[in-house]
Amino acid sequence: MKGYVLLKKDIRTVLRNRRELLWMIIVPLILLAANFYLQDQSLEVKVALVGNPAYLPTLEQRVQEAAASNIKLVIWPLSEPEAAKRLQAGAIHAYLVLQSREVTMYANLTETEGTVAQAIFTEIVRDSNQLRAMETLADLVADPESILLPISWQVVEVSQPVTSMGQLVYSSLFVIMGVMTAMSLGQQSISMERHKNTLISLRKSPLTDRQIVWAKVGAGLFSALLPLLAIVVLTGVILPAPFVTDPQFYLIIVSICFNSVALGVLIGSYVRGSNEGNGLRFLLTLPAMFLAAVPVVLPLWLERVSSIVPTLISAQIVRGYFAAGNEPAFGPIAYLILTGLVSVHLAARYLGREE
Amino acid sequence: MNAIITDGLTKTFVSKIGPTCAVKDLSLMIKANSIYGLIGHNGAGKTTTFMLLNTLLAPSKGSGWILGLDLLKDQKRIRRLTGLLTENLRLYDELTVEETLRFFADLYGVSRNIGELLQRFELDEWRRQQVGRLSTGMRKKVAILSACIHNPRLLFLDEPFSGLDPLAMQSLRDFIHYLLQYNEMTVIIASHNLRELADLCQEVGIMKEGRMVISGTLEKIKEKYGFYDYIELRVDAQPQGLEGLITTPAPGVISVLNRPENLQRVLAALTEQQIAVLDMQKQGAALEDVYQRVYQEVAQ
Repeated sequence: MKGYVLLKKDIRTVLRNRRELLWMIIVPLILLAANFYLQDQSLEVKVALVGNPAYLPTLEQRVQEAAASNIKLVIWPLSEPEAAKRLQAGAIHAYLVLQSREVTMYANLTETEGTVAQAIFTEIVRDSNQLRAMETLADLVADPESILLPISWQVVEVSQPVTSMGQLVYSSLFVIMGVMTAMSLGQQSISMERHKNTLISLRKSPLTDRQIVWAKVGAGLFSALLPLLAIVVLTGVILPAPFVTDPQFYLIIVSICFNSVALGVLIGSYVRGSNEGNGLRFLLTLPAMFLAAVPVVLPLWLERVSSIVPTLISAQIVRGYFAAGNEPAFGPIAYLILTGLVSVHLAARYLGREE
Repeated sequence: MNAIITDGLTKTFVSKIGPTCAVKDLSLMIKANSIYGLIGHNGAGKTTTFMLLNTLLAPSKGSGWILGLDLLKDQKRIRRLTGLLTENLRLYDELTVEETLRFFADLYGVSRNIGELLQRFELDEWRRQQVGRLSTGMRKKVAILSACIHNPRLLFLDEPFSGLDPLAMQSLRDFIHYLLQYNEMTVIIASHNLRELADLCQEVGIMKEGRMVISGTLEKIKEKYGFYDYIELRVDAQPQGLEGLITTPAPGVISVLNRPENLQRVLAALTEQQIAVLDMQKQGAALEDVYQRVYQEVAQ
């Protein structure tokens, strides 16, 4: 109950800092809007086709859809050696090799255009697969050779496929915002108490160190989730893309926020100087920011490292969620919650650490 | 009864550059219901001593009893019975005065009539004011009230006078006297404001490099270091037969050592010789002088 007194005080303090709270909502909204505007206005995706385009019957319709969403999709047929040469030179962003039961995409995924091409054609192949199945059902007995099912869809050099442009941008920015803001809030909740000398007053009171740390995690979680919820509501009104309504997506967000706040609180408890704390925080969040924004194929050793660093896992979980068709990976979520709990435990231990 | 007894209390911090002894072999006795002043340069070990006595740091060596409780075993109970105002405590700028006091009262689980408390300490006018918008003196007052909201029997004040104007200082002095008189507290003050300490404290202790160099009443400390208080009397005639007992710093002024037996003899002689005393003043070394002498001697 004593921890609740501190939590209540912290939440009251957060709500009273209206200007700060407003900025936490406005700035990400401006970033999101600017990102949508820039991405949608200037994106020209050049894709070459190798093989018979008849294998993709919905291609024309998809090109029109892409044009309607301000993505200029340029497609033309080429021979495979020529397409490979142009991709190498950066003249095109991807090319498709179309065969009767297999579609392979060679895409430059370090470019946004390459990722967009991959995202668009993932949907095209999936849809054309279903449409073709319906259309050819009648011909099944007469001419089995013409059946395209199942089409094997393969993207070469793909690290983290995503299903649409909007989700790619959203997921990236959400991870960046969530992880960085939540961790900063967690760290500041302790370091500000230390800076104001009020941490000693709290530690001298009947509160235990564990209660102090849990109250700080609770308040940090509240501070991180409140602007996010406001952004979710406001984006539905302001921005052209509908937001994710799946409750499992919010489970991911809450676990990421909890983990990040707990890590921030741990940094705040362990580190005495704010510069050291900021450095440590950036070390943990900047790679996550990079991974979230730019889908790259990591070298094996880095992939191994990224599989244990919670902030990197946060970035991977969101991407993975969209790639797997909105199926959350409960293993990594459990890992985030577990490392969050360990962080809280360590933070309580380090809170009264002697200098 | 003693509020604090320590025996060889030592605190050593271990860091990358090696061990640093912040408090060395501190043996101390502070009477209950008194005001004790702790003096020393920056880094002398005053704050660490406060932390040790509030059980916020564990001693590396030695033992101690706070209000009869074992420093090493009764940490929770000691923390409930002590109040601590840390140096430069800034409180929570966003909370109002009333909310701040309510927060600390709730933390300690005490039901205090905050409104009455604010009225008694002339803060009622500012009860809905955010702490961040108060003057330094007012903030300090709120901070001290927060530190003793749970009615501690022992109050530690670290640099309570810093940044205060003369009026705020007077107000704080009155406040400390009030706590002592009505709440029967023992107050320990660490400060660089030696004049305030000399006026307020019954006993003082001087620390240097983690060691308590000397502790006791100001008079005893002065005598130990060769400083004596004198009583200067303005008289209407020069008394006779008091050679060796008085000096004459100016015509019509005699100076006598501030000791009861000396004073008694001089006043008896003046009465006998029908010499009128026109004015009387106490003259003596200030705590600053004693402090400097102590530091010089320890350095030598």
